[in-house]
Amino acid sequence: MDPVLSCRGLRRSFGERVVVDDVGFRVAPGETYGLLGPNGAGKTTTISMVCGLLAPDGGEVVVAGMPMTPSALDAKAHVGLVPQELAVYPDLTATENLRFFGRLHRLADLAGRVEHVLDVVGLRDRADDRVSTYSGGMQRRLNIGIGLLHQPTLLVLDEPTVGVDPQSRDAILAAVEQLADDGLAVVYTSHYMEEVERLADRVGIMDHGRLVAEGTRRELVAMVGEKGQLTLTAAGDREGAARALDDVEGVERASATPEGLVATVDDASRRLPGVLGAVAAAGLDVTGVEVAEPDLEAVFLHLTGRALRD
Amino acid sequence: MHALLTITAKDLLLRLRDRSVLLYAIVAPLVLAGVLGLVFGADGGAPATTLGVVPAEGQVAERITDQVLPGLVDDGVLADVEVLADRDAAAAALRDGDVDAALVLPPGLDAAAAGGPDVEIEVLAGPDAPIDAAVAGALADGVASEVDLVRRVVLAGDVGTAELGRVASAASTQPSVLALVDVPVQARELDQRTYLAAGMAVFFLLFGTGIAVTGLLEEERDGTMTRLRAAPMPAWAPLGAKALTGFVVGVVSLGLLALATTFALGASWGDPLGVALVVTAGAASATGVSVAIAGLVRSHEAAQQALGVVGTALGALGGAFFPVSGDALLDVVSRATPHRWFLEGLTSLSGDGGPVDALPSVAVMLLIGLAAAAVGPLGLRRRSA
Repeated sequence: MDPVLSCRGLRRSFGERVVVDDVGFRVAPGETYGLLGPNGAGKTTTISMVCGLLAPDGGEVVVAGMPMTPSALDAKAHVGLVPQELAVYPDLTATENLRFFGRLHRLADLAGRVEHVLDVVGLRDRADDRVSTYSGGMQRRLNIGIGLLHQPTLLVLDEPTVGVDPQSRDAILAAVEQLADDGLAVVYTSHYMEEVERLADRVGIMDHGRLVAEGTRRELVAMVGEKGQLTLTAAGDREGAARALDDVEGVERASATPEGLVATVDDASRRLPGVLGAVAAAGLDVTGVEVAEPDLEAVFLHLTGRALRD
Repeated sequence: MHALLTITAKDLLLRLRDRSVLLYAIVAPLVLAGVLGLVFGADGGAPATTLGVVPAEGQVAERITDQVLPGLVDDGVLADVEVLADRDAAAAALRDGDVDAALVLPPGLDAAAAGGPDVEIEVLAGPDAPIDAAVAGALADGVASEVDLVRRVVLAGDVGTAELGRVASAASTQPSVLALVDVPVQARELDQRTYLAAGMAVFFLLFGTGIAVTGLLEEERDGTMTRLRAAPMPAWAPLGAKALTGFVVGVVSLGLLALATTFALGASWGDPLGVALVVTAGAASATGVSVAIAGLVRSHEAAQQALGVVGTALGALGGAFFPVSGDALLDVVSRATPHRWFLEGLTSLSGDGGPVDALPSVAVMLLIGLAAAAVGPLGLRRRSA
């Protein structure tokens, strides 16, 4: 299947400072691509080139088969951008905001699309109130709705949940999941590891303007060989059970704790049945299990030596 | 064009809702023009000076007292003329407020007109009534000129002193040997009320257009510009729409102020077509200056400060508060401001001036607007690079 978005060798400098250096990735229809990296990693500059806001100094962006440049109006029509800032007019109502941006896109069924988007983002009840009276989460939802209005083939969300309460964040993530299920290609940038882990089919990790790793979550974790951690709450011979785990395949090490035991395990979820069987055989009465899979935070730390939120 | 009009319509709606343009472009100039009109006593040109005159014997003095001054009352130049017994009576009448100024005609006017010794006409006026003093002074000059003219006639020909009155009357009614082709300058001056109205309108014009145009920086600050630039429309559309919004705000505010000050304050802006030309060019020039400011500064807050400084400086230099006169350098600087040309354009429409008379001012305003507007895109390109 032809990719909706294809970036190759993207490079962009501001003065002497190289902000994006040789970045390339592809996004297929229905795929969500997560761009993960700390603030200043070059995610927003990359997004700006993808959306035609900035011309790259080198490399190319192709959207729906068309080269993307700041003057490529046909290519721009395929992209829905949800900027990091709340790009809405607070003195207009949600309906007026949507109608304005819909007119810019010359939508044929403007009224119908506005009604549909109001439903999608759950703002129909407040559609005729000025946006300045909305909560932060409602404004974020409208921000996303405007990006969806013209039915783009590529939706680009740049840190769309910054400053959003947990409830609204969950609603936004669920909406993005639904859009990808409907066949939309999505590029999602964030420095929140858990959001990218939840949404992205594939993840690109950016640092200092470069794409330092790319792949599915599993591929990335495997790439750096990070181990998961099993924490068992249990009563009985905890020391003996820990020794018994030394012989179980995939268990790197195990140690007793006052509440039970902790084991470092390669591919923890898959090894869990074997671990539980071994400790039961060793006479341990397990009352609780916690599986901590290796995460992208750990991957990022491994690749860059820095935490995502540094 | 579609994007230009769509953004312009949105901007006009926003500007109406936030009321800033309404305040700066309509309410403030209207209120200030009214207040200044009250302060400076602009009452629409009705004759305000009641002149006292102390007569003297002789044909020339009698002609002034009995014919010239009553004629000025009939012509609406003076409110009234009161004949007073002597200088002391004139001073008392002035002190009591019965007259606003007084002329004391001296004895010996006839003799002076016949080539005799010079005489002095005394003008009495209070220090707090400069306009009345100026009126009385101008009348004294007129009398002196007439006496001088009669003296030249008498000295040149064989005219007896018995005919001085006839000569004086005849001389004053003869056309001048040298006639100016142009309308006299006095006929092409805005009356005080119109000057205040036009001055305040053009002073606040830049604030109205500036708020609209520098909305561009507001959009950059708030992130909506990112979304506009990502939309499938020409890159020039946002700036073009801001400029069009500023121009519309300028034309509407000046037009409304012209109407409001005409009906509410009695201002007289002149020929409607000529006013439309001057208003259109004035709004275009203010829009150009606003575009330059939007391009040169880096933030919306800086733009507001720049508008305040530039608007006040251009207004003062351009004569929005008081006519600029005297210093030659100041006059040159003043002529670099659109404000000056706006007021000159309206001045050219006063009297019997028509649209053609305003064309030079209109052309200069358009040139200033175009030159300033050219600066804006350069600054914007540098900022977005």
